[in-house]
Amino acid sequence: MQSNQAILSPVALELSQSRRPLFIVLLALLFLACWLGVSLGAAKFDLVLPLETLVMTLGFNAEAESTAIHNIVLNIRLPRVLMGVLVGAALAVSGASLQGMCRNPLADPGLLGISSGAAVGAVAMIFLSQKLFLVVPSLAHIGPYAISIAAVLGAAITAFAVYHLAQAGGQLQVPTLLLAGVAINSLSVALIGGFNYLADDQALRQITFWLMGSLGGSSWQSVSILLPILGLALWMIHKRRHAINLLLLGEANARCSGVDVDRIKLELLWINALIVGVAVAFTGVIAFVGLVVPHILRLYSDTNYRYLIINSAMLGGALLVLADTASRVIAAPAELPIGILTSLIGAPFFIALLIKQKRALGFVL
Amino acid sequence: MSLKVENLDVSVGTKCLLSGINMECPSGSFIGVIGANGAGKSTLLNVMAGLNAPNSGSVNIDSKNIFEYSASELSILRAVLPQHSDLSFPLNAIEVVRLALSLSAMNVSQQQELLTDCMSRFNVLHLANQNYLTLSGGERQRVQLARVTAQLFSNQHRQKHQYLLLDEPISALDLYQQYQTLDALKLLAKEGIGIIAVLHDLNLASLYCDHLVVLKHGYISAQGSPKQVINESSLKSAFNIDVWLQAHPDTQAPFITPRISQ
Repeated sequence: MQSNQAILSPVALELSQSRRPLFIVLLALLFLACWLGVSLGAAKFDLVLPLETLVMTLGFNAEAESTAIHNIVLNIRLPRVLMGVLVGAALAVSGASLQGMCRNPLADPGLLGISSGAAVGAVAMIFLSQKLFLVVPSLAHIGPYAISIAAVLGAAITAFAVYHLAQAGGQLQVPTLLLAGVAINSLSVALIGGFNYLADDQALRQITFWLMGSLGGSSWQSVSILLPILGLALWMIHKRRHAINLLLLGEANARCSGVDVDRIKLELLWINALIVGVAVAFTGVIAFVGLVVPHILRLYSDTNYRYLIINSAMLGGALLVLADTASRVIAAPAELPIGILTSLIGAPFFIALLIKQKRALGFVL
Repeated sequence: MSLKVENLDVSVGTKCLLSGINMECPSGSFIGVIGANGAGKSTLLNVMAGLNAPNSGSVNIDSKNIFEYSASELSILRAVLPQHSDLSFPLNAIEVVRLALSLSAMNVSQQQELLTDCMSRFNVLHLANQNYLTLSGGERQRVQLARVTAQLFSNQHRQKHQYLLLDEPISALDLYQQYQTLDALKLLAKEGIGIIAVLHDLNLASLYCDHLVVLKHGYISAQGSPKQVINESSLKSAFNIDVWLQAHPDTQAPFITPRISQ
C-alpha cells in the first residue's frame, strides 16, 4: 500500500504542478519592458515618466512645467510600445503554432517564406498605389488598409504554396518544407528587387522602410487597427491549443484522437497568414522572434500548447519592446532598424540553442 | 454490437492492396491479424481506423459506416495505435498520455484517477515524469498504449461498445512486458472493449486471441479460432514456413516451433 502511494505521487505532482510562477515572471517581464520602452528614448530618459504622464493624463497635475515630453510619451512612445507588444506577441505565437503544426522546431514565418511573401504583397501595393493614387487621389486614405490586405494575401499565397509543396503522402516532408521556404524567400527577394528597380524615389524610400523592419511608424491609428485583428487571431490560435497539442503526435494520431486535421491545418495557415501579413504591413519584416521565443520557453517549461501560446505571446511582446527600446537608445538620436537588431541578437542566440541541444543529446561540438 | 468490415477492396493505382475482406470484431473480443510482411495488415488497420478510404466495401461500427461519424464521435468509439508514434518536442510521459484527454471535459482529480489507472495497466506509472524522448522504444510503446486506452476512457458518457485498433502493439517489448501487455489487453477485452491487433508472434497470438485473421497478398486466407487457423498447411500457405505443431501445456492452445530447413 505504501509503495502504491509512492507510485501515485508523480501523477498527482505533475498534474497539480503549477505553471503560475513562469506566467508571473513573464507578465512582470512584459510590464518591465513596457515601462522601460515608455521611459527611454531620444528626447529624455526618465524612469518616472510613465507615472508622470499617467497623472497628467488623468488631469491631476495641470501645472506641469513641460507638456512636450508628456505628449511624446503619450502619442509617440506609448503607441509604439503597444505596437511592439502586439507585433512581438503575434510573431511569437505564429512561430509557436507553425512549429506545432509542422511538428518541426525550425518552422517560423521568416524561414518558411511567409514574411517575405507578405513583404512582396506590401511592396507591390506600395508600388501600385503610388501610381493609382496619382490617378485617383481620393483613394489615398485607404493606403494602409490596401497595403495590409496585399500583405495578408502575399503571406497566404506563400504559406499555402510552401505547405503544399512539402506535403506528401499525408505527411509534411521537412527537408522539402525548408527548401521550399528558401526558394520562396529568394523568389521574393527577386520580386522586391524588381519593384525597387521600377519604383520612383518616393516609393523606393517607403519600400526600403518595410524591408528593414521598424516600429517607427506606430501611431494610435495603427494600434487601433492592429489590436482587434491580432487580438482576435491570437485568441483563435489559443482556442486551437488542444488540437495543436494532439498534432504533436503526428497527423494520423491527431485524426484518430478526434481532431479534424485538414480543417485545423487550413485554419491555422489562414490565421498565420493574417497575423504575419498584418504585422509585416505595419512594421516590415522582423526576423527571429517567431523562431526563438518558443525555444526559450521550452528551456524552462515543456511544449504543452495549453501554456505555450499565452507564454509565447507575453515573451514575444516583451522581447520586441526591449529590442525596439534598445534600437532607439543605442544610436540616439538616430535609430537602428529593429529587424537588424533582432537578427543580430536572434541568430547567435539560436546557434547557442542548437549547440546546447546537441550537447544535451550527448554530442560534442 | 461490433466493428464490421464488409467486402472491402483497397487499391493504389493498379496495385491491389486488399480485396474481398470480410471480418467482424464483436465488442469484448480480442482479434489478431496475422500475415507475412506486406500482406496488407497495416493497410487493413488504417482503413478500419478511417484514415484511408476503401475503394469499395465498408467499415461499420455499430451498424453505421465510420465515414458517417465525425472525427470527434469516432474518437469516442475507437482509438488507434499506429506502428510508429513520434514526438518532435519534449513532453513528459504523463503529458503524452494526457493528450488523450485534450478534447474531454474532465476535472483534475478525474484526470488523475484515469491517468493513474491507464498508466499502471501498462506498467509505465513510474515513468510519468520522464521526458518521453528519453524513453526506450518499448517504454514509448507502452506509454502510447496507455494513451490510446485513456482516449477510450476519457469520455464521461462512456460508450458501451468501444474498439482498440493496435498495429504491432508489442513489437518493441521484452518477453516479460509482452505477456504483461497482452494480459492488460485481455483485461480490457473482458471489460467490453473490442480489440483488433496486428501481431507477429504467432504463439502469443494463439495464446491470447479469441479469433485470428490470416492475411495473404491482400485477401483473407483463413480466419477462425486459433485452433482452427494455426495448422501446418495454413502457415505453409501464409508464411511459407514448415512448423511443428504442439499444444501449449497450460492452455492447450496451438503452439508452433518452426522447422529448420537444411
